[in-house]
Amino acid sequence: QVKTISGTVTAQSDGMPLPGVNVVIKGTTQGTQTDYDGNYSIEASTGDVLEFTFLGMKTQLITVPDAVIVNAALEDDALSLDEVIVTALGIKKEKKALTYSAQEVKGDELTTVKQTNPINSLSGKSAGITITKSSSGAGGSSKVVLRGSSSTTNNDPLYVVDGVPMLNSGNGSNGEAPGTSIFGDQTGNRDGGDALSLINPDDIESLTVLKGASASALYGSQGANGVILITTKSGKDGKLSVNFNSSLTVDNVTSLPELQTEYQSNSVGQPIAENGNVTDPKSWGAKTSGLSNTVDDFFETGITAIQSLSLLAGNKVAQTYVSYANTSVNGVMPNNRMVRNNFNVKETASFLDDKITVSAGVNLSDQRIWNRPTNGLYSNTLTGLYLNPVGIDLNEYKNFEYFNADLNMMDQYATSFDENIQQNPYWLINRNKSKDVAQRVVANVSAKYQILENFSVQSRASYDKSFFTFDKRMYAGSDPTFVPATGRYVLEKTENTQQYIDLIANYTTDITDDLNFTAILGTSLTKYSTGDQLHLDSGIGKGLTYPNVFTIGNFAETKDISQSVYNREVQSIFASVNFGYRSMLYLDITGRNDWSSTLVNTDSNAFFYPSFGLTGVLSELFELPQSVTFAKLRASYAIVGKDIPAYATIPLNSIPNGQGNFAKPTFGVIEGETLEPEKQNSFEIGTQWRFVDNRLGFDFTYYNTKTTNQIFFIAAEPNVQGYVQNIVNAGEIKNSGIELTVDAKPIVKENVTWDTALNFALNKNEVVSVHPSLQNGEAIITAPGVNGYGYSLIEGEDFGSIRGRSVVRNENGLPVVSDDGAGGFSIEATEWETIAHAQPDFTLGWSNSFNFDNFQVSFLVDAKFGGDVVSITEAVNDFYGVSQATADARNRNGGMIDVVDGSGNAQQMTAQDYYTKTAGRAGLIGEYVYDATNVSLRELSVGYNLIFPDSRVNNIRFSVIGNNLFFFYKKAPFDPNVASSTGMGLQGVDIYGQPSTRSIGLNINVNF
Amino acid sequence: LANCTSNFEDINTDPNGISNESLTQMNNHIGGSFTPMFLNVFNVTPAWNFQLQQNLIGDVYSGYMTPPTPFAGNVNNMTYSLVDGWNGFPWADAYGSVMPFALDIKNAVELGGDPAGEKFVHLSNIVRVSAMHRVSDIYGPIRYAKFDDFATTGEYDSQRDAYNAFFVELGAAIDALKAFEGDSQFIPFDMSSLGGDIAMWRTYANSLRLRLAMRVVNVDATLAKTEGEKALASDAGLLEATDMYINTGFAHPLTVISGAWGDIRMGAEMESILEGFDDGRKEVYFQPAEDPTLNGAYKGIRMGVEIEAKGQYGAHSALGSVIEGETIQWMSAAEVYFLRAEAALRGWSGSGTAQANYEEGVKASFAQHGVGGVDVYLADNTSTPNDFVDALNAVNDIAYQGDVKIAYDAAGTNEEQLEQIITQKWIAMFPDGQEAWSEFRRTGYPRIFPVVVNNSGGTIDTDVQIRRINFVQNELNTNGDNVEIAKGYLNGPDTGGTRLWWDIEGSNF
Repeated sequence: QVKTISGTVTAQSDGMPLPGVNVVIKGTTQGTQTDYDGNYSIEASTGDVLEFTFLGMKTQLITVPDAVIVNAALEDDALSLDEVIVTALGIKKEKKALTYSAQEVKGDELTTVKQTNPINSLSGKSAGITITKSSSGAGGSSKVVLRGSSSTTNNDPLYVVDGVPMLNSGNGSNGEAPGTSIFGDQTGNRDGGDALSLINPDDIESLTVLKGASASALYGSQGANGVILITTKSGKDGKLSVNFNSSLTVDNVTSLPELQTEYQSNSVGQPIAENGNVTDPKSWGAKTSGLSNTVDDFFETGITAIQSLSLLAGNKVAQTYVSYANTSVNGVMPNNRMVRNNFNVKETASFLDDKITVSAGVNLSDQRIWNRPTNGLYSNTLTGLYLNPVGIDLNEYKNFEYFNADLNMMDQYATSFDENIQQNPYWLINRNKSKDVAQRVVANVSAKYQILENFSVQSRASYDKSFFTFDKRMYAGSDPTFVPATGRYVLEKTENTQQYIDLIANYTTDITDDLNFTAILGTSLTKYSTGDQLHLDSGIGKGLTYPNVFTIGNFAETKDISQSVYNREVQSIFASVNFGYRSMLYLDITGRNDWSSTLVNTDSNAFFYPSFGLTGVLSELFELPQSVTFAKLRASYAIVGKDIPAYATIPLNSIPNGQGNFAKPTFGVIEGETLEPEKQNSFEIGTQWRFVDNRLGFDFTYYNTKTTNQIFFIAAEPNVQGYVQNIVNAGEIKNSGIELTVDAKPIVKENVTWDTALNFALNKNEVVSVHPSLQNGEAIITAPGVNGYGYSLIEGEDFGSIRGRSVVRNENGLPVVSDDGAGGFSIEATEWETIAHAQPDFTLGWSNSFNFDNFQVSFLVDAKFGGDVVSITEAVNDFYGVSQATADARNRNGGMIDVVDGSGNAQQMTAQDYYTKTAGRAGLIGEYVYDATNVSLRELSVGYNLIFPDSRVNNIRFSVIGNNLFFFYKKAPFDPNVASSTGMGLQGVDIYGQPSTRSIGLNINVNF
Repeated sequence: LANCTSNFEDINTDPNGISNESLTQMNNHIGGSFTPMFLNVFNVTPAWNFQLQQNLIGDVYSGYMTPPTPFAGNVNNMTYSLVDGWNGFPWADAYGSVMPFALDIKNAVELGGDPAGEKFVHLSNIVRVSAMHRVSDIYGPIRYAKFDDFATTGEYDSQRDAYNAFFVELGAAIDALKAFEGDSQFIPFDMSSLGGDIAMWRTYANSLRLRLAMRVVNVDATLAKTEGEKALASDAGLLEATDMYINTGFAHPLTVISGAWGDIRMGAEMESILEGFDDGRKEVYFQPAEDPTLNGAYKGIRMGVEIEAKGQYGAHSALGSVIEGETIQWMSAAEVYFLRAEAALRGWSGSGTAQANYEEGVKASFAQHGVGGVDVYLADNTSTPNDFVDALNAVNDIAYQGDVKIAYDAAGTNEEQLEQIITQKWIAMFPDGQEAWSEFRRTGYPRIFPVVVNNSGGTIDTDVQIRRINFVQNELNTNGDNVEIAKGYLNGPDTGGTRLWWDIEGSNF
């Protein structure tokens, strides 16, 4: 009995109607699609089986009952094995056919607890990815490392947005240059931000992490550090929806250093100079009581508000996605604010019976940051704050200036300018103002022509440009080491541009019924112009003509202005062939050849990378127990490379800043050597198993990479050219590790579900060799100079050895001292040695999501085990006697430190004497090593869904969200997940970085 | 594809770089290379570089100046804990900005093929010796004679070999440049007070030869006399009316270090001697202490004492007007008179009398600084250096270990006369602490006070005082084998306590 069946198809997760769902009577070709509102109707008989299929949802089968209404609620199927995944170059592949590890993270996993930089939301959600935030607050960049550091020059992954590589070059002096010292830049060690942090998290549909070289071999020289593919949202056929999301969090500092309030400075009670200077800026005076710590008063409660609106509309022919987002942040540091606006349009259309698909999009971002926090010792607000002499009320210094009658103008009122690292923090936030503007425009167009059913040609082009402006106005009265008596003005304009175009042909055919073949042939051209900068700095010489007039016309001299740009062009051809045998066995072979302009003057400016991968679907190949839903085994091998820094092969003279005469190139190739691209061989093997109707599964990968021909900038051997550094190919760095992801749905009930996932990654790396000319197998990345911290790559050690000296102790752990000739003692110090390696031994992320009716609770525990970090902050705080550790030492043992002299006789030193000789920036940093292990409740969200079935408003979701809530375990005196630098030079060290923040707030999502 | 990549060379060329070819315009491939050399014998910018190249080594060890700042918790060069991170700068400046540019000049002249270019090589050699004897006087063995050859550039010369090379090069320059007197090609490149006058450059080179000759007198009296008498006899003459200084275009770094940073103050020895002699030059060299409790006195700080905070001694005497302007002095005419005085004392022919030269030297120095009353000063036969009294801490008080006077006593013993000559030379050479420290080490004059706090761990004897700086860390890292050989050229371990080749313990005669 044929009858008309009708009904509505909705998504089980949010109750939203699903347009475009295929409804087919199983075993026939009869079928239809749901309309706009998820409604369908079809002629069928009772007992027929209706099959509802929709991409990304589990297929549902419903037997037609006697009734005529058949509604279906489709379940999300993130675990679907037939699902396709976006891989290199935007090529979609069946997940089960993949020969390497790829992990997908859905957009909503990134936006449930939203962060201003979307990449920070990845932490703990994918195995093998380590994310370290910079300490510069909102708008800061993040250091992202996949499968451990393998390169001496750059370990950043490649980001690919909708198939087109994105230019993520940042701007700023954040430890990018080799030799960065802990002083930081004179104007403050700043994070210039990057392009990635400008992305609106709500635009992200999904994010795929391609960790190994095999996955990214098709990206050639750019993909050596792995690839993060970002797929952005698009309009959908037959769907109209408006989504409004508002989130508001309050942010408070956590992990502040422990400061003492027991021992006052000798300055207390002494006269204070007209300029506020006290007699003794340190805090080694008498014990007292009733003091309070003013540090907490300084920080404010930050507020982060993100509003975003998106609109999806479309019909069969054309689809539109438009979004706008506004992010507004008041930082925890007074006067630190950020405002960001994002606008995104994406239009897709098809012509000629869908034979031609064209898509075009424009993405605009504009971000302004006022007074972005800096780190390092110089011009940093926090040094003056933490080191404030105990007992001298910092509130007295809130009025940060006084009238200097001699100069007839205002001047800084500060407790001290000691060691050039202390200034009045209120002066710095009011009279060392900075403004960072970052703007980015990306325009892209892509066209695909399906010439034959199995042959298509696609071309994509994009123009990606970022503009950065940095404006810093340092008033007269700032520390004269950095700022002349008339003030200093720095204005920097930087542009980064990438032009990309590719052409890819895709051919697929069934050679036999059992054997499927796909081939891809493509070519691409990328032109880069990065760091195209005008740097205008009035400098530390004569400064400004008229004090505190911040305009370039007022520069008293022009010795500190400069220009720079890094140009690079890469041309490529690439091909891939893929064989699939009966959905059981898959073989992938890829090859890519790159020609890079940076390789001019070397033996060859071309380099080739192949990759091979094989997958066997065990569950198809063999008869496995019923409980095994799916099983596969995969293996792949790839060689990828990386070109060399621009201009390295053509050293030229230059006119350096501040000199006024030409200088010879500071680095060059060793006489008689040439350079070649860095090369990485990588092997991985993995297996994926799913059990009990997909309710439990795991994916395990073992990988092994060997990176050779690294680019090292090493201290130059004696040479006649005056090179300070040589650029060499050398060394070998090995990484090996395992990644394990386990996911499960322990509870699947009508009204209650529990999803849980565990991401585990273990990476071991070793610097096998560095350049043979280096003494002791040590390649120095950051030379200690006059400070106590160094960073090197050392043969036989893990990647990144933090170097320092420690106190020599006898067998009882007592410091060994010697007579200093004046009745005191000198502390015996060790030679420079490796004191820490910052990378964790293994990382663990555990995410959970519970659904009870309309309630949803999710949380993420993020853990890193192993590794050590050092704290210059603690060392300097100890030196000044402001740390709790120094108060404890003074309260103990009558304030004396037990030491032992060379003859083994017990001796004592005062705590002050001991810390003065061991602490400080140049001190024995080996005494300031802390276990980096930490376990934190990274994210928590409790939400409630209100569904309005018959209203214009489809649903409203309220959630309470928390980020970085607390640590279950942490030993370091700062948050080790926050880095001083996202560059190479300053890893595993805190130098007065802004403390990390805990955010708690509310998120409202309204869907029309 | 060859076509596609044909513009790679252009793309990979830094548009803001300057090619060597471009520098040939207006002879900058030769002349332009003098600029970095002129600006790095004494590094002029940034000021912290000068601070590490000169100020916290020679300027403090000579007794000229002392920082009020307890750098690194007072465990630093001043208390004989030699800071490797500081002490590499004299080396880095020389091998980054002097030696390679001198080689560039030599290569450019050879390539150019113009025989008249030879003068540039000799002029560059004079500048190079000016720079490198200072470096050698800090560390001892240096990389010099074999520097220009790729194969041997890492090898060190003993200090003896280096000094011999200096004498050869200076002698050759003085001889060869005679033919170029009146030649004007050097004028646009000469940043010095000599104004591109080749004859004056010969005079300066000859004066430098006399300085170096005197330096080696205790270790090799024959060599000293030979080279010294060559200088005294040479038609190149010796600096008499003209001081040799460089117009740098930068404020003297000491104005920044003493002024804005407040990181350097008068040394205790300067206070003892200038105040004891009631020397008018003190008002040019220093400013009265700003500390109100010192009542406007000129107050110095003893080096190597316990300092807890910069505020303690920060308001002692800062440097005076001597460092104003955009010049750096390499050699004063006064110094040359004192060299001639010592030459006379030692009986070198052509040197006149010790007393006349001594008095000319004092007069030249007074004239240079615009200070009057030189005749009264020279007649003072009673004043002696004061004992030092620390303004804050009596532990640092110390008696001046001598009673040297101003009026020349030609009847005194050789040592007594030498002490007078060197003490006055020491005053006159201010603020070139490096040369003053070298002459102190050679002669023992003036009587620099020993440190109170010695953090050298036993490597530097408090009474013998610091004699040199150990080899630099970067050389140990990159050129370790050659440094090991160079250590063999030393008279002892590679520490600050080991005497240099020309530094002979005991009597000066």
